[in-house]
Amino acid sequence: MSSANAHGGRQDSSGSPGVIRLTVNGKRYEFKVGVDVMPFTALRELLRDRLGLTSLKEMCEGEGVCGSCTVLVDGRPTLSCLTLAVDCDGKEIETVEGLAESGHPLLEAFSRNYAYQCGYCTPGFIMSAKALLDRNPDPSYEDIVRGLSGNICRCGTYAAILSATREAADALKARRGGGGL
Amino acid sequence: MEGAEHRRIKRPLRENPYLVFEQWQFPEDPEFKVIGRYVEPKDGRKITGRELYMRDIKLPGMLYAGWLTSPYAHALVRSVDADAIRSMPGVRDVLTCKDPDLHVEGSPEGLAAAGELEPLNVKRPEIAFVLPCEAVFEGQPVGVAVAADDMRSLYDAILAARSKVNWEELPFVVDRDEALRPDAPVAQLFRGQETNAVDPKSAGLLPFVPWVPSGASRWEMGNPDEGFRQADGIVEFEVKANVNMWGGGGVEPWAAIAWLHDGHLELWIRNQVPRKTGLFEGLESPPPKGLTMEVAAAVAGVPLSRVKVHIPYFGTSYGGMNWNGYSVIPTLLAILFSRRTGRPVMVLADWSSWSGIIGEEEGRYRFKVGFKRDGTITAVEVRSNVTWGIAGLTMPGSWKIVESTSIKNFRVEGVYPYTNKPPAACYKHGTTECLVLNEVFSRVAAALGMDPTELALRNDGSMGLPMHPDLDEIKAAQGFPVRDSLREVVEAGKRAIDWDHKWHRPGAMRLPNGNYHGIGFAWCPEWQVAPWHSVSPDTAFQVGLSLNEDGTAVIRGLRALVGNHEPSTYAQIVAEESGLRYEDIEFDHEFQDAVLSPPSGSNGLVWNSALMKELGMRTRQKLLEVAGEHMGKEPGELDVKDGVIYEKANPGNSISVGSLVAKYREHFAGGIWATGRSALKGTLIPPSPMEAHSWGRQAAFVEVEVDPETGRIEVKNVVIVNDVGRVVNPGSVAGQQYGGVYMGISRALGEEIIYDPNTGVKLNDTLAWYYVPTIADVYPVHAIAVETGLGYGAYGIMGVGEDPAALTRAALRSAVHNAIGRWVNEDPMTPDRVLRALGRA
Repeated sequence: MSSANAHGGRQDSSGSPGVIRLTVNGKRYEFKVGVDVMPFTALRELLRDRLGLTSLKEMCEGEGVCGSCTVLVDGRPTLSCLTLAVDCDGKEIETVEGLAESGHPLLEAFSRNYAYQCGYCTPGFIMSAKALLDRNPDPSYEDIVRGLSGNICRCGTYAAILSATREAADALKARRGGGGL
Repeated sequence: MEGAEHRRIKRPLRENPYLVFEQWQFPEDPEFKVIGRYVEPKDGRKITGRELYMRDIKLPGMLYAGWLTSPYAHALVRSVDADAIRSMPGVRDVLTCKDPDLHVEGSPEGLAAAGELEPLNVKRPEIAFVLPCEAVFEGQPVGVAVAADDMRSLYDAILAARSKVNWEELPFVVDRDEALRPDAPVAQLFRGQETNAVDPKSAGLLPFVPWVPSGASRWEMGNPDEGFRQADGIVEFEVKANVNMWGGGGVEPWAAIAWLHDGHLELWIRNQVPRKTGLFEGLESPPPKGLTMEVAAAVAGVPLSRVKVHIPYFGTSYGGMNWNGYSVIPTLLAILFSRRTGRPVMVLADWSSWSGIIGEEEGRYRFKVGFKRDGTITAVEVRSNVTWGIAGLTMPGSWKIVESTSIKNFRVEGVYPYTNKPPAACYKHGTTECLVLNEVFSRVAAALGMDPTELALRNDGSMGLPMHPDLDEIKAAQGFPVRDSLREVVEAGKRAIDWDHKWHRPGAMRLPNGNYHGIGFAWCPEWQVAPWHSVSPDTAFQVGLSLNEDGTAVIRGLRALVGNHEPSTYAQIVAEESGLRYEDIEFDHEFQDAVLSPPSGSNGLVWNSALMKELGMRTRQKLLEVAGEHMGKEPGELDVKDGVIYEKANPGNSISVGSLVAKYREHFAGGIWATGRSALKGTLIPPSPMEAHSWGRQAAFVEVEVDPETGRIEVKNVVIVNDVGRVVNPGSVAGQQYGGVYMGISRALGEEIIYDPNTGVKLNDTLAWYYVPTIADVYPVHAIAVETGLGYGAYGIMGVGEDPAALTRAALRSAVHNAIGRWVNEDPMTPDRVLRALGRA
């Protein structure tokens, strides 16, 4: 039997250290608070250091303004540098590594459209695009602009990102049987 | 001149309302099977998260290191309580600026005395090396560095170190004009400096103001006084360009790893120039190089044979830091810590502060331009007060005018006052030079009421020679097509933006919404690394190719991958020439023994296209020779296509490349090598930079609305036209074009590092306070790649990475003048400056 603690982690009835349980890219993980994860550990640190998920990049050094560490937490685009890991107890986390494993059309579309140059910011963009397409499967270009405006690409690949995101939407529509545009 | 209707126009990319991309060719231009066509990119795996960038790398027992940065514009570290820092949890090593390890073999001159390290800084070794005791600008690494078990311990220790230092603040100056006053504080960048106004040449500072021709601080061509006497009119004006392009704005923070173990040094380098080559040998003033294996080996005390370099993917830096000696600090510090601890060490740059080192040319330019009624410009005088960092790259901001016009009379005078600001470095090079060129043309066009595109065509040329007929004759003599690049890009751009209908007299069009409408034009040559110094006999550039028994091939060479899709472009050229399949070719960019062309950015493909072309040609020849032996045929009777060698007269008689390699391993064991010299376009390479004419031209057209109440500029439409010589990879070319456009717009409208004049400290060096465009700032861009074959690279290739940003910034200035009828004399054109120009603020 466990109950949520002040930091969102769980403490069992024996009083042993609390744990947090995350589902990351479909796999379940359990971390002991105070041992595997500190109360102040950012989700980004946990995913990179403990699970080796290197797609969570960093430009702004934790200021929360570049978007390159974006992951989905229960489907919502989230800046993992500003999110405490313990607050994600019981939640589902998605990263680009998961999309790559499942063959999500966004990756192919970003590659096909040359929607990256140095590629450093791209995983964050792809996760923001995934969140957008999940909630709006048929976005206009203006919708895409609004949906991805929290990410920065210094190479300025924005025009191709628009094409790639729209192309991925078409591919998903075709998968669902709706035909492509 | 044939019109657009005669062109072959390809549109190989998926378009959207914000992007149209066209390749414009003449019907007689060569058609290739792979070059110029869409291919799947080969570096797509970098977006999956599985490919490693510097900070993703973890080595066994790796320590994390960093440094204290100066909170003052000019200060001395009197003492450091190193013991207090050393006792903090997780701290493994503390290095202070007085540590003997910072000196090579006890030399009082410190690491700078290692000779190779001269580019690290100017003439003061005590402030020059990895960790000085005196900081001459805010953000400079100074005083103390720490190595710790993990990043958190490191950051805690650096934070604590701020209070463990006894500082002495020193006088400073950050304003360029103030620095020239007799009573101004002296910036103290080098020993014995008595004034801030230093002639870089006489002070022996040329490594820091590279490519400065002799006497660059005052330079004349022709007879400017006579040119002004001949003029029908003269305009005089002043433009101030402020510091923009903060290097920390949205790229991967700098880092480095060194592991010195068992007498071997292993490095992970984030630098566009990972190894020194013969590129700059023979120049009067070679520019500062990035960290090289040679320097690293000297500091580590190991022979070069024991140095191995890894170049992970890196978030690109657009030149910038790579061309400044400070870029070596993280790696040198990592080597020192690794030597002391025996552990691999990753140095994490304090990015927010340290990256302020990167900037763009800052300066104040005073112009005097003489012209005739027909638009012929008779003389140009530019007096400038500019940043010493990169402004010295050419004559003070004016080289593009000399390089690409027929203007015969110039006078250029520059002062480079030192200040307590960090040195600047190019960041997608050339925006200020392009601005200077276009200020001359825009102001004359406005004074004459002349269409600026006509003015540009009238004065097109190089080194004072007109394009027609003088330069046409030289083109023909050098084996180039006699094409008129400027006319072609201007025609393409005017058509795309509907110039003839939209251009109007300055300030003449108000829209129903009350805004001013404006349209602007700018032009320039692509900044070229012409092969005049690349074909030196001393050059070390070469590339290899290994063929495998399954028919695949690997191109091998050392090069930083900076985001130009190099693995794809190289494979395209080798596939085109060799007959191998594009999909069968990969690129090993960490091969230590064959160095591809630096700077791994600007015009990188100009030289490397020649390397790859020759490599492909040699591969084809080798395949034909070995297959001829196998098939009992002469090589000339055979051909290679799609990875199969076959008899031309009897295509059924064939053998696959894989089978041939498997059967005749000994013939392919040594690999195939190329140096690229035989494949450069125009084998008559000009013998000097003064004769290396830049034939290609680039143009930007921008349409804006300006709100007279708020001063806000709204970009409505951009057309960018680049003569790239020949498109190799459409996706890569288009990316450079529209990416550069966004950067140019943000430079023109908002990017600016603000210094507090009272403290000399930057006020906005975080992404929270510094404007970087996002996708919400996306503008409709019509990108056109014109193919004239007028570049020096193989197939006539020239670069495209630099000028879209430079041009767009300049064209916006012209568009805003066309809109409001007034000049905004300070850049970037923030709303307050626009309102000031309108007399409303």
